[in-house]
Parts: sequence; C-alpha cells; structure tokens
Amino acid sequence: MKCAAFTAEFTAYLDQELGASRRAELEDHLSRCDECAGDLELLRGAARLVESNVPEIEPPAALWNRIQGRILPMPAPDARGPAWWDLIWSRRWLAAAASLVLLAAAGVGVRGFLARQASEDDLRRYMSEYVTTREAERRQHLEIASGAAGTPRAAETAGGTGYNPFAVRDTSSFDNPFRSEEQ
Amino acid sequence: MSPTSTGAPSDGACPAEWIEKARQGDLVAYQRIYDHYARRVLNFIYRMVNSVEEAEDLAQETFVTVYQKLGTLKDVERFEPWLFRIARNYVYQRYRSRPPAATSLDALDDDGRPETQLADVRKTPEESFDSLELEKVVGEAIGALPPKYREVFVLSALRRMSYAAIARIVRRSLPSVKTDIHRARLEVRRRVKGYLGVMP
Repeated sequence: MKCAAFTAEFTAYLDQELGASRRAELEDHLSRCDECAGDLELLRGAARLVESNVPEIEPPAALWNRIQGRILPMPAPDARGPAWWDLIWSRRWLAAAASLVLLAAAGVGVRGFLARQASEDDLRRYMSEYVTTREAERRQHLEIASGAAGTPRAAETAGGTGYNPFAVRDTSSFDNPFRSEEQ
Repeated sequence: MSPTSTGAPSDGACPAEWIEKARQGDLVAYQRIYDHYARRVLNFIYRMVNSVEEAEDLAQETFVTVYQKLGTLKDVERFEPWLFRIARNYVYQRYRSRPPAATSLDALDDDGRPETQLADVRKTPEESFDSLELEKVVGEAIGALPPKYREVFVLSALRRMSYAAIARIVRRSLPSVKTDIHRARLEVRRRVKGYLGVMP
C-alpha cells in the first residue's frame, strides 16, 4: 500500500480513532518507512506545541450570576409547554397531510378532466362520421335526382336559377316503371 | 508505539441525575452542570470568535437557552453534543452579523499579555517570553483556519472530543469530520512548523 493511504490516517491515529487492525497496519508501515515516521513525528510535535500553548480563559464569577439572574424567573424546564420547534414539527406533519389531500384532489381532478376529454373526442368523432354519412347521402340523392335532368349543374344552368337539392320537383314526366298500363 | 501524544484529559459528561433535577427546576443542579461545562464551552466559543467579551456573552446565551430548552432534550446521554451544538449555533449566528476576526486582539493587554485569567503558568521570564510568542503563533494558526475546520480542530485537538461526538455537534458525517480534522491539523502544522524546535 502506498504512503499516502497511511499519511491520511495520521491524525486519526494520534487521536486514537483508528480500529485495531488499521492501527496495526499503520504501525507496521511506520516501522519500515522512515519518511512516514518522520512525517508523523512532525504532526505529533505540532499537536504538542498547540496543546501546550493554547491559554484557556476562566469563566468569571459574574457569568453565572448573569445567567442565574435570567433563568431565576423562568418556570422549570419540564413544566413548560412544547418547544416552538416541536410545534413546527407537528405542523410539519399537518402540512404533509394537507399536501397528500391536495395531491389526491388534484389526481381526481386530472382523472375527471381526462374522462371529459375522452367523451368529447367520442362526440367529435361521432359528429364527423354523421356529417360524412349525410354528405354521402346527399350526393347519392343528387345523383338520383339528376338522372333525368342531367347533372345538377346542367339543370342549374338550364333553369337559370340556383340549384336547390331539396326543392320539390315535378316528377310527372318521370317514367314510373311500376305504373300500370291502364293508367 | 503510543498513538497519542496529547496530555489534555477528556472532561467527560456530567451525571444524568443533575440534568433530571435541573429539568425539575433545581437551580443548584443546573449550577453544577454549568460548573462542569462552563470552561469548556467558554473556551470553545472563545477559539471560534477570538474575543473574550463576545465569548462570555455567547456562553451566557448558550446556558440560558440550554436551561430554557432542557425539557425538550429527549436523551440525557446526548446532553454534551446538544450543549455544544447550541453554543455553535450562537457562534454562527454571530458570524452572520460579523465575520470572524483573524486573530484575537482584545485578549491582550497593553503589554501584549492576556487580560483574562489563564490556566496556571509559572515560568521563568525567558520561558514566558517564548511562551507568549508561541501562544501568539498558535493562536494565529488556529484563528487562520476557516470556521468549518476551526470548529472541528478545536473540539478535537483542544477539547479532546471523539470524532463521533464532533460529528453529532456539527451535524456532518464521520468521514467528513475525520477528513476536516486531518486537513486542519496539517494546516496548523504548516504554520507552526518553524517553532517546533523552540518549544519550551
């Protein structure tokens, strides 16, 4: 294993935060690598220098007096109601529940919208088929009607009037194949 | 080979009984808790803000808040990380209003000596001179660390807390804390390297 893998563990080693097996591996490496051993000694020396040269300040007596002066009028901690973050926490659950309800409502709404869209599509398709069928029937009627008078366009031209496919025509001149000879 | 070179003892947690009594409003019990932790909390804050006066103000806020919220602490075994987390929150609140100073200025009097009561140091004048210079160098080395590294360094190297406890206080993963402590140590070592030979 390379030195870098061990040097990264030096601080944890000094702080006694390494597991037994890892510590044994590192100590084995240190016994064979002078460079790493020297590096560790520098780190250990710096740690000693820091610890022995960091003056600590003492809490002044007045500090407790100030704290006591503020907490004396307060009720006992256990006698107090839930902390504000507890309320927020409980409200958070409330908000989560409300969000779920909203999501469910939105789901129902989307579903209804899609169903309505589907029925509208059906209606549109039905209307389209109806119009196509009607158009085909109209054309068929026109063809039948123009059987004697030529094409509708010809009849229109001959009559000099606008063509009305629904106008009642005089059918007396039509040959009636079912007419009896006596008539 | 002995893994640790450090002599600073771990101060340990206070008895759970004190916390339970303080919860019931027992101020004597709360004063015991205060006595147990005040020095550690005050010095942690001091190293973070580099000002004795501000450290005392923030320590006061910390202990008032701790008392107020003691009823919400679910696990008394987690009191110590909880206490330091509150102290840390005040430090960061202060950072938001004023970024941290690089070095401590108000901790020194006109002669360059710390104004406050320090831990007992009885040294010869030569040693005192060296010691003051080293304290300045070390203080600057710690003060120059970015807050993210400084907090884990102070809790680890000066307060001797376990990495797991530090991870709970700063709310970061254990590997992240481990890496940051190592980086902080390397940076401090780089800054004090020239003084390793003159250590009294």
